[in-house]
Amino acid sequence: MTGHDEDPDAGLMLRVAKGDRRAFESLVGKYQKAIINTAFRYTGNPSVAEELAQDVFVRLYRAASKYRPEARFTTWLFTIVRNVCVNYRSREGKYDSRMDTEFEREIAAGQEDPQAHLIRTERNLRIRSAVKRLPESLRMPLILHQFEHMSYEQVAEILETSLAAVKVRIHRARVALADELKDLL
Amino acid sequence: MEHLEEDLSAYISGELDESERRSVESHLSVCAACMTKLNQLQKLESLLSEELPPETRSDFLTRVLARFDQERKVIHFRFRRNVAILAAAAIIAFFTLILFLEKPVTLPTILVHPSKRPTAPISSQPEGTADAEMIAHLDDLENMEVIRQLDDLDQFDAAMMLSESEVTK
Repeated sequence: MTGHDEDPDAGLMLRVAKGDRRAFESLVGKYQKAIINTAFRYTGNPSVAEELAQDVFVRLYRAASKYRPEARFTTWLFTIVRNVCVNYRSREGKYDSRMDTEFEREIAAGQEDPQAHLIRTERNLRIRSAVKRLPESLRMPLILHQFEHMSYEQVAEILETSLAAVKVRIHRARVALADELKDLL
Repeated sequence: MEHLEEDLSAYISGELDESERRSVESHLSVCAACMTKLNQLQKLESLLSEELPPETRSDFLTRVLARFDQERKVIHFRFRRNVAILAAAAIIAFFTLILFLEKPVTLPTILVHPSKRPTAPISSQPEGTADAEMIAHLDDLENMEVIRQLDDLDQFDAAMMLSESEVTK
């Protein structure tokens, strides 16, 4: 990207830097789901994921004056997401993991037949648990590529590493998951 | 034969260029082990795509906007505070400069032409006299201290000589 003519989000960010609430609202509306989902897959806890997503948007506002439209907006945004998620690890203990399953029940209740719901919930928990157990160096590259559909190149930019490293890490993450979840394959 | 590793994942993700893709396909056509691994990774791909995260709470946007408003107030407050601090500093600097410029400049005596040096005797200058007396007094004290230390050294030398002579005996 070379400027906000090509990246409309870059234009919104420049408005946010001037304190434009509507521009901020547009960016939140557009990216909240992707950010919450990324944080959720990283932490495995929906309440924590929303807290972290709020932190991301607050940091985005604080850092708005430093944003330069030369950088692709999503790359810049997900660099904040990565930092917030990594910082979360240090205070992980203070959150209650029970919130996870309670939230799950609350969301899914009454939406499908109980048997199918039970199977789906169990499978989802297995997948999330396996993703969460991946080593830090493999988890974020896999989440960004597998679930947020980012290219290897963009993942490398966000994680500030080489394309070759991303390629290896994503493969190792997949092999580890395939091994962990082999009875579901 | 060397098996495929990360190229297998890159192949599934569509991250290979045309020649790399053809090379992988050529390998897969003759390597059963890599073909099995590919099938396993493709099944994983399908499993992961079925996993959907829970819905976001409906009041998320409201809560984020509340934090945005709070942040904006903090940033505005900090900005106004910094402006006030800078303004106060500028005013203080201005008045300090004014006071400095209004004070008459007194040159050191040595720089003043001999004809314009003060001619009054030193005794008639109370400030200078007091300073000179004080310095002289300090010098005296210092000299007395030096003499006392020299006396101590003499005594120490005498004691050493005595002890040496006793040893030689």
